[in-house]
Amino acid sequence: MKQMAKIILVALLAIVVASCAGRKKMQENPEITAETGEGITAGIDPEIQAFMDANGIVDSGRYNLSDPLSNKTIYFEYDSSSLDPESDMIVQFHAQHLASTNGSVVLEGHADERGSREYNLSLGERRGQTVQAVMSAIGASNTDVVSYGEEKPVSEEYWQNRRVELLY
Amino acid sequence: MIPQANQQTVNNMIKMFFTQRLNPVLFALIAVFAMPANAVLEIDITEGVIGGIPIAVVPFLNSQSVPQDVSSVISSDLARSGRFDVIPETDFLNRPTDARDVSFKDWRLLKADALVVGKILPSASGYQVSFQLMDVGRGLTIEGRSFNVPGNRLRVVGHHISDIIYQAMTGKPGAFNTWIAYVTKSGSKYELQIADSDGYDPQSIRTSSEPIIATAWSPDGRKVAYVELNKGRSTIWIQDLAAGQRRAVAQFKGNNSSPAFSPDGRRLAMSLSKDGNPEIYVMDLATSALTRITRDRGIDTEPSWSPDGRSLLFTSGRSGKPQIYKVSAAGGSAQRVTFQGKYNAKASYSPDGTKITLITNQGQGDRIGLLDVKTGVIQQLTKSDLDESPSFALNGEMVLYATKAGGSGVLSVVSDLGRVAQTLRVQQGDVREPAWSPVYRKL
Repeated sequence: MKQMAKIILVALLAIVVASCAGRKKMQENPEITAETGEGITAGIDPEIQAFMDANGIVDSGRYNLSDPLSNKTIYFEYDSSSLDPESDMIVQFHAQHLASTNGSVVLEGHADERGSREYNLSLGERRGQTVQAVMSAIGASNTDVVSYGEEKPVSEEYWQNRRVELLY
Repeated sequence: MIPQANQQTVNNMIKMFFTQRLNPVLFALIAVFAMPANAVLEIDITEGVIGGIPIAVVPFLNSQSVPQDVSSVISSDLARSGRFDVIPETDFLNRPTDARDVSFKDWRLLKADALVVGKILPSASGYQVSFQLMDVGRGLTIEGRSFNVPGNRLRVVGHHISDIIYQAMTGKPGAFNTWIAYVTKSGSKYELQIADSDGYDPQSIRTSSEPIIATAWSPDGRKVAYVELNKGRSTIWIQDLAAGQRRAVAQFKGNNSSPAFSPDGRRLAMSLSKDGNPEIYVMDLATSALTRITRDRGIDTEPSWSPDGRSLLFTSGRSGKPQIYKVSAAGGSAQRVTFQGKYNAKASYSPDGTKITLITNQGQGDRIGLLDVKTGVIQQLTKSDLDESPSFALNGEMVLYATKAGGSGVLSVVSDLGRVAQTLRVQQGDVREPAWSPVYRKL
């Protein structure tokens, strides 16, 4: 099932990246997005929306889904280093982009302040490694993982600190 | 060293603090002691000590006119231990400075069990500090000593006297004449500091624009190990305190963290992810040879040694959430130690090996816990919810840890009976990552 989703997504990405026509369509037909339900980012590419619908991925509001590559921060659940489906999708956009441009990126892992400092240093690294593994599976292997644990929070909101930053 | 002008203010504030008799019912008394920038600003928050030994410490002769008020150091120390109920000076009927001038019935009226009197007299090398400890019930002097010290050692001798009193009254060694190490953060400046156990007289050991974490003392108290981050990479350093020099002992690919000296000082346990996953290793410090101790897919980190040097406690996520495990220092299979709560981490033994302190989350946030080694039961010592880095005093009866108060990182001391007796904070920024020295300071 997951393999199938990946193939579909790669195909979708090929369409999105290869042509700007898709984006132009969105701007010319704003009523397409206005009709959709609440919580949908304005201007999501219809093919991406279809992919999300097919895989039960809901727009959580954490990511700008109308411009996936603009999201340079990937978020995680408390004490977890696994990617939820929406976050996994964003990583795959980046991976595809990196693979096709032969680019490199540093994956900087972080954690929120709860729990012990040293365990969080490892948790940040593990989150970076999860993103690295997804990227590697798509052929983007110029990645480097570093970790700051809980040492560099960006917000009072815990969820915003449980993150991997993509540093190009 | 605190300038004398400031010290007078400090003395007055300490007096104010102790003029109120501590109500056994929980309430907070806050006295603020202002100190030079970058120094540790002390805020005392003391819960009333129920069942503490009632003791009166009479201001020593000349204590107000010498650079440090030795009798105030003693009163604060005893109050901080959570085991004494220090009687306020305003209750005193008179103020003897020698055992010969003591009328015991005055002190029995105040329900004191013990009384401390003393003198500070100028001497050739500085000051002669003498004290006498009396058992009020029996009307006897049970301790009396005299010390000759230079002016800049008055606080040290005060802490040493506190240790003597503590031992005489409780039968256990005190832990007042010791150091604490900790990290301060102000903006993007991190500083590893060492101070007296009450936060006075901090010395800067290392300053960095990148985070410093995981402080650990060598068993002889001569070195401190710590982890310094650099662009998201981590290195374990060992720094010699007297020489001021440091060397990098682990700088492998991946995370290098959690240094812990073995009791004989010859080995350093650590957590390294160089082989793909954070595992526990033991390094021989003379040869740098590494022995791998754990081998599993979970995060393994925060090793700490048993007092006999034969086994290690460590934090592992192998069963889903972090829990404490125990493993032989030579490697082998690990046994789980914690079975209460959903998150247990950063465990370390008391020096006698009968207790383990740790971070424990049993549904009310991260608190400091005390695990009885024999029964395996974890008791929560604190009532806050963001506690971390617990470190035993060398007598195993107090735990120093980091927590948050008023939005800032602060340090607190809690006795193993669960009474929070002191909070230390800096004027600007946060304090964290404390470690209590395993040795006494020299007089």
